[in-house]
Amino acid sequence: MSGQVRIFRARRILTMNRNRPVATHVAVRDGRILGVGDLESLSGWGEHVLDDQFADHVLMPGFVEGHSHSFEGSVWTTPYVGFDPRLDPDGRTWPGLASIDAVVERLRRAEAELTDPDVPLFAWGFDPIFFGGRRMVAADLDRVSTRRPVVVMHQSCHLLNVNTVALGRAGITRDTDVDGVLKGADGEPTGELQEAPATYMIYRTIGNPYRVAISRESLFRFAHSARNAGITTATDLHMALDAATVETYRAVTAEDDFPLRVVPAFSALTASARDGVARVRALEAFNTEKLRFGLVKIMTDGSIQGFSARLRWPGYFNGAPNGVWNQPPAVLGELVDAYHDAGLQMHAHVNGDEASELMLDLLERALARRPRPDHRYTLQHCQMADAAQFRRMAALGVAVNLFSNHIYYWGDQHAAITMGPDRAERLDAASTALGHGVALAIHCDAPVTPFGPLFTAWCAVNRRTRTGRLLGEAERISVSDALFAITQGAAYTLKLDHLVGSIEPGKHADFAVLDADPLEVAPEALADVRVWGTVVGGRPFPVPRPRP
Amino acid sequence: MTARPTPAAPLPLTVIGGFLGAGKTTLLNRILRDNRGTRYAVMVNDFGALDIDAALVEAHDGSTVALANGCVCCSIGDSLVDALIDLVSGPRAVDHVLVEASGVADPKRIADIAVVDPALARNGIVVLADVSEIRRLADDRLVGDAVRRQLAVADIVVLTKVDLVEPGAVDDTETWLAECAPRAPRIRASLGAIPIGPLLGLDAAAVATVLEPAPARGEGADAHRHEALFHRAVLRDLPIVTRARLAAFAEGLPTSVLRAKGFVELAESGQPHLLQCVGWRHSIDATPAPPDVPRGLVVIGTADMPDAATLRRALVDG
Repeated sequence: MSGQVRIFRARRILTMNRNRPVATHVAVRDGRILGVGDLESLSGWGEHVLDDQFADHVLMPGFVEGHSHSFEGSVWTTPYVGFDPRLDPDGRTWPGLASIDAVVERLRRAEAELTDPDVPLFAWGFDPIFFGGRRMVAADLDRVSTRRPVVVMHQSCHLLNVNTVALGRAGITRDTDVDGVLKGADGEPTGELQEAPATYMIYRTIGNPYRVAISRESLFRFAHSARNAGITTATDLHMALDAATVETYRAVTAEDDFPLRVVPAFSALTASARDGVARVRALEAFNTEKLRFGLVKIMTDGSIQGFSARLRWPGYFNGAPNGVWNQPPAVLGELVDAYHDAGLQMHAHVNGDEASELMLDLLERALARRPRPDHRYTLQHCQMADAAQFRRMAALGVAVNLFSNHIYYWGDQHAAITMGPDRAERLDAASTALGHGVALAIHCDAPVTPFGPLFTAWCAVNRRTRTGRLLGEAERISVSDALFAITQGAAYTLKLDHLVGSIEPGKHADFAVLDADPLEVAPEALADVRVWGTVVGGRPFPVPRPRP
Repeated sequence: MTARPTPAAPLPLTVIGGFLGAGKTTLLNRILRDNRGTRYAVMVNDFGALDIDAALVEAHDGSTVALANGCVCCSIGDSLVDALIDLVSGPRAVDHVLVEASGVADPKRIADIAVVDPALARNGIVVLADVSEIRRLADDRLVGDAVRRQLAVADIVVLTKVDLVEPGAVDDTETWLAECAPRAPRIRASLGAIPIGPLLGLDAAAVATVLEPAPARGEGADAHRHEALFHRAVLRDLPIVTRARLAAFAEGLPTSVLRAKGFVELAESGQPHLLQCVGWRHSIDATPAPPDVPRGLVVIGTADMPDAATLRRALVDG
């Protein structure tokens, strides 16, 4: 017994299906797309309900975010104090904070709302690089509280600023002699702590609300943040997948009002290859329409802006030493071989071009030893790959998911500090990828940068940095190509392109509901197209509109 | 190492570094099998690689394996910081933490956690170097920088697999190592035979036991062969010295000294303070030890280490 047929009418439907690129109506039954066209052509399906709620909106396939983390749902348990405005899971925009005073003021208000005098105040998203060299110090945060610990996590997640109470609680003094405890001219700690071991005692004595573990609440926040950006399928690209985590995923994604299809990737470096293969294989039995296990993530290097990415010669522009491997290349090779032999799909985190090169070497070795069709191994971030590396990807059938948001957020720093002005031009080289026939997705890495596939597309299309600099003119791609990358392109990298990524019969009825047509607005305005919400499996999920 | 620290005593943390194949797992397996009463917590990336006797396993909860001999193996998982916090804050009683640093990790960052955490005591970085491979690895395009960094921050370097290469080649490698890690003591060892106790050091209680007054024996008589590879000197009835003098003594110890530990009365406070030397690094506790601790130093080194009288002169006369 089939369910009711519902025909959604829209101002315009961009299907991303070449056989019918544009339509006005889409018929849905049992959560799947029955047909696409106009009302007359769809009436052949018989009795139906005509749904006009999107008559003034533009529908696209629900966006697919191929690189994000459920950590997005954890950070929003605490106040946001970043430089850029940011939309929270509840649909509220947190204005950007352009000065340390503004950060302190927001924290003071958050502090005033805490009733328990003993709980610490945590906040996230802080980035001091926009304050003209002025670093935050403990005295700034002492204006928030001299009674309770105040801990501000930077956007990078690796650095903290804390107040004097927190320094005292953690036992950090002028005598604390380890790397990463910044000291002032007077020899006293300034309150800025850079990475472990400097940050260790804060987490140990005060706690860590950001420690990665999912809950029902954090997964819903993650899904709501995704919904607010028009995303209907998203990866959670780095999880140990212990029993409790898996149980939470299963229970929460099974709830009817959970508005997201989730693809958790198993973190290969947290287990031996043998245990990992067995774990992922066992998890595949739990797959549903909204939860898809099977993907394996392999971490290789760190980040470019953190100087921990592995670069080929000539290395960092400012002379910083080369970055770090997460595991010795030989260990990474053993993991690649084991997951390859098991027939599982790997996505590899590679930021620097030496990391890209290593992973291409390892994948090539595995594929030469045991060829495998349609593996869809994907290089994630892959920010510094050059044309020669993209040619190798094409030859090996390796896909790429570029971190296009970096162009805007850190493009200026890459030109000035990390890569230098020439190599920075090829950062996240989407046009070179497409030119060589490499399957392309683009991503945001939420919460590193916010969910927003249309913004990510804007970055790939316009390649403008925060200061407006055009970074790598030749690497700009068309709006059509960018829209493909955030739908079918990303779906392809997840082996879900037969189910999502376009509006065509048989696929899930997953739509991004937009206020304007991304193909009609000026390319420079692509990021400004407002998202009404999503439809997942035929069910609308509007972005809440809190009263200002 | 049978005496256990009191609950309040900080837990020694030793980092075991070295590249793949250098022998880290072999060493850790030996320690776990022959723990002589010390309850080691061994933190590794993958305890599947450890040779854990299934019959010894008392409990297994996914990320930790508890053994019948009191030792526990912990998987580092996503975050060493989280794993260490769990261990230090958790209910499990252990005597010594060993952290395996992957071949590309920076052991100093790990050891420094024990510097900042009062519940932990930095007990040094022991880096294993496979003499047949280390020079090639140090020049490797992908990992050479990490290999050299490990050697540069090592407190003690253990040359392994020395029986696999010609003695002359071992000498050459040792000469080369002396340039990469000029201040770190070097030990040539077979991992099957290296004495664990001296390598990992004496805990505070064991030092106190050694230093208990033994009037029947003079200092010289106490400087006996400790085990085949190591010598030990015990210095008792030390004079009161300034902190600067004690620091200069520690700085001036030759590379034949692996470890020194004990309590010396400082002129500044008039009270005994704990001195610990691991390889070329030392620390002098800022806060005095209880007044009733036995004064003296236990010094462990290779066969060519100075004798007790020489060490005493170095401390007293500079």
